[in-house]
Amino acid sequence: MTAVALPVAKGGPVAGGSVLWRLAGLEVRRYARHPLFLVGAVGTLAIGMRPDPVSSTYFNVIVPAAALGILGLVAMASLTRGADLLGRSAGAAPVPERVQTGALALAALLPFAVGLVWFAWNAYLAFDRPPPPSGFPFGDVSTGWKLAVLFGCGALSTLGGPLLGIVIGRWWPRRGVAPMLAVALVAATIIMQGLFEPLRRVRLFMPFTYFGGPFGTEADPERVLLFPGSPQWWVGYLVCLCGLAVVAALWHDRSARDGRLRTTGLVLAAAAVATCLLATLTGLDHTLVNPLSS
Amino acid sequence: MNSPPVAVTRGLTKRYGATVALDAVDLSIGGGVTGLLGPNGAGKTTLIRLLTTAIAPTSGDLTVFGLPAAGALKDRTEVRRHLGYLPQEVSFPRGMTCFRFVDYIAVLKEWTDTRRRHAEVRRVLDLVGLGDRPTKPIRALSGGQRRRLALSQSLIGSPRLLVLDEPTTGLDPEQRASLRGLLSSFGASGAVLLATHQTEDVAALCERVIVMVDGGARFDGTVAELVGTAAGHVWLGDTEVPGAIRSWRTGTGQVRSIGGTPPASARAAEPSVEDAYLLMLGSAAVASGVAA
Repeated sequence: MTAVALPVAKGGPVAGGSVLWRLAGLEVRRYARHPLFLVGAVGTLAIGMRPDPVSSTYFNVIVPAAALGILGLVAMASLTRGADLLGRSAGAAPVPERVQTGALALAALLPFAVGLVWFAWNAYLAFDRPPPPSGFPFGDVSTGWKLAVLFGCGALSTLGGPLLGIVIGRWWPRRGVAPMLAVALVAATIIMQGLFEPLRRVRLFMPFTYFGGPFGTEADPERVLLFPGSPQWWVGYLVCLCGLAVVAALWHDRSARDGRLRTTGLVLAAAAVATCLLATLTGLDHTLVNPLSS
Repeated sequence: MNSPPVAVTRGLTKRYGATVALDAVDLSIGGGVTGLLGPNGAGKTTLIRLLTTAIAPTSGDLTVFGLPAAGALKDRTEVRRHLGYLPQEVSFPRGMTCFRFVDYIAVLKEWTDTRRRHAEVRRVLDLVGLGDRPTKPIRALSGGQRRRLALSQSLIGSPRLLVLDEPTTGLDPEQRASLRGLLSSFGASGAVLLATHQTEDVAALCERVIVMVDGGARFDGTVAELVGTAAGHVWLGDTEVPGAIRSWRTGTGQVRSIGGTPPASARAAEPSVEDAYLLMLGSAAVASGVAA
């Protein structure tokens, strides 16, 4: 430290690009270095890209959902807490919390990018090496149905999990909340994945569920089923949930609470309800059983 | 103190429910280093948080750099652009290095040009003596180094007003002396508000001192004037002075007493800032009916 002739700042905070994008760059770098993201990305690319010629490549969806979605939720909640600490350290910075939140939301595009790589490869596998007739899916399902299942269950989870992490980091920043919520989400998903017939209709409000698989029948516990509902509308519902997560995270900053954000939130909430209902009420109207034993 | 004031308060009041944290404070903070002394709960941090636009007053006027600091978001943002603030407690995110910590906060202060921002980060790390360890993880820093790192972010952009809440906490004597050099240099060209419990820092650095007691500004003047309030109230003798607000046996074996009625054997001692401060707190406590 110096006693006299204090060197002063040269120039000043002259814009060299928007603060949002600069912060997003820093948040992407922080996210890329997070151990949970590294584990999740490596896991997704190492385990979730293999074709399964015996039953179905579609079952790979659980890998990005768990490795980049669930772990991403915990990682992003931790990064959001860190961003909050950095904002508090500055004490009185001109850049408000909502810009930091926006930057964190943009950083969520990093795991989503990995999710899209996973999706592109698995979509190729699903069509290049289709499942056997006894596998999943079977019968007359459209290309849109197949892509929606892969995209919604696999790729969108890698965006939705981290975005939910921002919401948790903003509203419930205590350490341990995010892992606890992740465990609760996994438990709820196990119940709502389609194991229980009475819940198969209502399962589509969940951010992750299956549209079929070897859930079995009384006669054949390994038999492959197709569940009711429309995965295309369900993808729309998930997109609305992602948007709602961003709105909820931004809402934490009082200075961001204007009419536009409120309207956006209400529109997204209404769209989420509508798409969830459409996902439940359209598409397959009952469970289909694969006539071939797997 | 001849420079125009950077911050002016008129009847500034902050209440938290029934608790009055700041009670109709009138202050004018100008250039140089101003010390803000006061016991815990006196309203120092509340005043600082108001000045830095972190909270809004319940009533009264507050202008910083001529702008209404409790006004519209646009004005508060403009005020923040020219402020450096070191909060009393700073928590660091895990897994960050010194450089990345300051770099991130520089972006929060709108330094978006990467090359210039990095040069500024290196400059402030140099100022606090951490220029040789930019890539060191924060978790590997000592308490004093962490405090200096926290200080470095407040220096970004050479702010017009530097507000420091307990900056010397955790610093060893050498680091504290270095910090004094830094702050005195800063105060020569700008304004520094230094909230502290360390009366020796005030004595060494400040041209002006404000003593906060029970949410009000009990004293506002030069350090010499503050010390002058204790003249004739500090005694050295063989025994404790009856009615003294504070007494203790010094290293020489004599008893130093502040206030009270001295016996004939006691002799008047040269008061210090600490004596004057303790006398003022003691008088305030007596005035409010609390035993000193």
